[in-house]
Amino acid sequence: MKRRKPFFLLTCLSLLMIACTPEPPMPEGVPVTDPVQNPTYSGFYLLNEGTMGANKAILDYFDYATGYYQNDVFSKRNPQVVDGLGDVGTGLYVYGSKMYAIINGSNLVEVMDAKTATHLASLQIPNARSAAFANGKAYFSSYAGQMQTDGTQLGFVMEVDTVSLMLGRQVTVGRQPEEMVVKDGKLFVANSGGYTPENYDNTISVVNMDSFVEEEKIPVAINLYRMFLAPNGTLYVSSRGNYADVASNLYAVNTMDKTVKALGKGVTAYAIKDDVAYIIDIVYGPAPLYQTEYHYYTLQLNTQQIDNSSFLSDDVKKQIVYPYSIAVHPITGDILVTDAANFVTPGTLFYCNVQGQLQWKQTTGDIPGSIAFWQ
Amino acid sequence: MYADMVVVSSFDTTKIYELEEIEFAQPRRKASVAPLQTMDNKTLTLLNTQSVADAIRFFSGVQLKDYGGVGGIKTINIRSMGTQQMGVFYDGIQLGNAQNGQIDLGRFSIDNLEEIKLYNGQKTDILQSAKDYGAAGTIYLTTKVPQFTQGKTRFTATMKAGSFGLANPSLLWQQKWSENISTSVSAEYTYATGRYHFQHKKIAPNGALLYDTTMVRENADINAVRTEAAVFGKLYKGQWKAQVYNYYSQRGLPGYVARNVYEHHQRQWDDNFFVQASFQKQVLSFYELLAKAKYAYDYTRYLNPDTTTQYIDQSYRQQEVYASLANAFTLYRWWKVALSADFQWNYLQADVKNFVFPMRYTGLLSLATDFNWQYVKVNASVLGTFVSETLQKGVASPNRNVFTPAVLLSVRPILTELFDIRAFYKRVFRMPTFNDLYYTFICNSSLQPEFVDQVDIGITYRFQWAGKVLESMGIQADAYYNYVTNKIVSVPAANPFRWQMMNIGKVRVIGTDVSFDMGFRWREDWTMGIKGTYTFTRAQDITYPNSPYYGGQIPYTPWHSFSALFQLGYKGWHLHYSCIYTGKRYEQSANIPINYVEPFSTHDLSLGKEWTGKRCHFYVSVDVNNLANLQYEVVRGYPMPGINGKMTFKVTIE
Repeated sequence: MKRRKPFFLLTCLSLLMIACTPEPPMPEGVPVTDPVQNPTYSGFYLLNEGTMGANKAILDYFDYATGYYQNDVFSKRNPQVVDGLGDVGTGLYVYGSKMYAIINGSNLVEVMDAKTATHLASLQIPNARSAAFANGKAYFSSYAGQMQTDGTQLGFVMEVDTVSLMLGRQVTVGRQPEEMVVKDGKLFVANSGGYTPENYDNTISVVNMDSFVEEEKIPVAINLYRMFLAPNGTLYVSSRGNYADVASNLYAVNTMDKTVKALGKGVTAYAIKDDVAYIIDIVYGPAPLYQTEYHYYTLQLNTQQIDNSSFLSDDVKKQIVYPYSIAVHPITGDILVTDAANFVTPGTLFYCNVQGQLQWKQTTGDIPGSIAFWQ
Repeated sequence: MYADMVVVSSFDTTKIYELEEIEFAQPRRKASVAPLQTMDNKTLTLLNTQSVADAIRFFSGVQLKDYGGVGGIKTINIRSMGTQQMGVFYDGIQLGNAQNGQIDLGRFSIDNLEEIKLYNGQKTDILQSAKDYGAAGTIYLTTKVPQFTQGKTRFTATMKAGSFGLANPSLLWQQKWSENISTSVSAEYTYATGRYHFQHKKIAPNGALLYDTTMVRENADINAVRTEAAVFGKLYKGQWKAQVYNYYSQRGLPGYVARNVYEHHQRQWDDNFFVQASFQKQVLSFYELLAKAKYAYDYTRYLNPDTTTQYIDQSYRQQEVYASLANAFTLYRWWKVALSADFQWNYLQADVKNFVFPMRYTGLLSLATDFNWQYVKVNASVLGTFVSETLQKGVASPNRNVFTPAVLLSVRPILTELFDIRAFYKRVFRMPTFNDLYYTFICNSSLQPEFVDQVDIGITYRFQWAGKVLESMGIQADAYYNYVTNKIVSVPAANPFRWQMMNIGKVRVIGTDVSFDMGFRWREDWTMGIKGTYTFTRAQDITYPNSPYYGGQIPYTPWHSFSALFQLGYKGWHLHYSCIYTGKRYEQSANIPINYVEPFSTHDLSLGKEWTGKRCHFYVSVDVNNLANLQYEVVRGYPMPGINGKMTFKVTIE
């Protein structure tokens, strides 16, 4: 034993030296691509929904400067938050210096610092669906409105001050409201009526943002869902149809004269860069095979022109089991598509360049659903 | 005794239980060629579990999904083949649920049960209905048969009370009307608030406490009433039985726990009613007959009053008519053949918009043969199942005609030793349930049946030493391979909010079930029993060949699990200790850290005393469950109770 002592001391000493050597902090996560010098956007966050009841909403982060992808940043940065990010994360938005994650199953909106993903507040908004932002205010649509005497339920929109993070005014809209758009001092809300498939809602609610009351309803089509705006002011709204004899569709709405034009395409997921919308449409085949087809197309927002040639390369399309969401880098035009696979195993993020060719891919959490860039 | 591994029969403790019972249905010690595990009345009394599901945990090869609490759902899965591949028989007739194919064994009290049997493969009584051949694994619940030591009337009153606000009185009246006719009437009421504390705690890698909150499980209350009556008749070379059963319950559904979701408000009302009868007679020296009939009515109302999510108030009514005729012919002393024909009708009604009101006609025909030589027993059968469906609107599932075979073999190499080697092959299928076919938003009436192929090889060995301290010892071990194809799984359709059922699942299972028991007796008054089981399961999800998670262990299936029972008896005192260990599991077939579910073990202790007065017999016990006060989950998001207790007082007057 005695003879081993010097060796033992030496080991301790060298260990001590290693421990004392100052090293730059290792970037967290895994390297997935080459670092980018002076990136225009620092990175992006990806919110994984997780199946309902699993309490598995997971926030991932990719950092351009290091090329590292990190799974589950929220629980790492906020270990003190009881039960983590929560159940079913359905929407992710960056507005100003803050990031908002709709945690639908947990009946809250988690507000984080966009740079660090540290917890700032939990807004108690039950069954929130979607968000829109304007003039320092956030607007959240929710299914959890008043019950009507006929058994149907109305939705509402909640206004939140993005500085004080206090819940503000609330307005009742149509049934099961989904996405929203702010235009000319008005809030347009797509109502789905998804709780009553035999009697879908078919209107857009128009809310005056000064008085915060619903001014009028524009009838468009049943089961409205997605909503976005063209730079020239054209309002687009998608209908999911009734999954039977009424097909899904996309409508261009003139908000002045309330005229509606059907474009004959469905929208499952979309992303917008400048005046182009990148759209994924999942088309469901007839019985008994129920063959599902995925259509990738682009829409010129100002001209309403549709280009059916895919924005993804065949190589990428082949690898995707179930395309679930899409995002486009606001400057470079890189295309990000997520694959939810079978929804109960982790999904995949496909990072493609502007030509739709795969740059890298990375395993995410269960059901990767929303992506938000952080400058 | 041949091959009938009554693993717990050595728990022979009380004078009162040693009394001979009237044999009903099958002679009890008939040989089983298939792997069989039994839990008899003595063990059930000492285990004193709240439900059948809690008792079945002590069998090997069983996975229990327990959502916690007195009213929580408890479903059993045998050898990882899926809950719906399992058949549960109540006094010889299968309990049906055409709607979702699941039997919640948490609803069956052990109060009026004589024994529980679990067969892998199938029961091999030659005189049995076609339905007995129709499941991959079967559980037989047998109710108590009237027994009398003196007089003609016997009353038993039991009161249990304990944690979760449990109050559980029951009454049993057994009456002998003549040598050939006796009756049994029983009633049981179960009330519990279902409230218990659970803890969410997180500790940082450096040991610092990040949070530690204790919450109360809410909306887990239950009110349930079970009433049952039966008439038992004896005939010359035969017997008959008629019974009526009703179970009414209303309960809260405590639901999952997630961030900011610590309370649910959903409620459920159930009424399960059935009336059934069976008749068995040796008509001729070579011909035996067994006839059965049943009518069942099941009502379920589900209410979600919470307008945060979707308000739902739906009622379902299921009806079933069943009739069976089984015929067994003894051609030689060693050769029997049997032919059975069953008919079943199911109808489901609901007050749901656009409901299709499915009606199903099922015909079952089984042909079986049994060779019983000195060294070898062979049981071979083929089951034909013919299903036809009609709907009020829409396209019904096409007619299905399916034939499934089974061969079971048992060899006893040395006649003087109770040592048997056995093997079986069985192919079996299950029809898609009404929910599978017609409940999802996108009806998929073209769904195919789900198939299982099972191969099993095993041994049983039983030693008996009369008069020795170690009276008996038994071991049985099986290795098996199961292959599930066309497994019905739900997958997202065009819209991720709308899921549909597809026949795409494939599961491959390799496993081992081992169980052993020892019975000791010394100085007349002392008895000791030890029983243990061990289960190894490798159940791989091989549905998606291109998935990186291909071959992962299927959800909630531990690789290793074991159970142990220890029982000591002395002059009417009983000390009973049991332990369950469930190894690591994953909640999804992606076996990654985030889906990891911690192993757990629970320890239960019970002390009881019984004594006999002039015309009375008393039994008092105190049970403490989860002694270590472990915070654990069987299913992620459904916290289980910590340490809890129960007192039982039982009196029998004769």
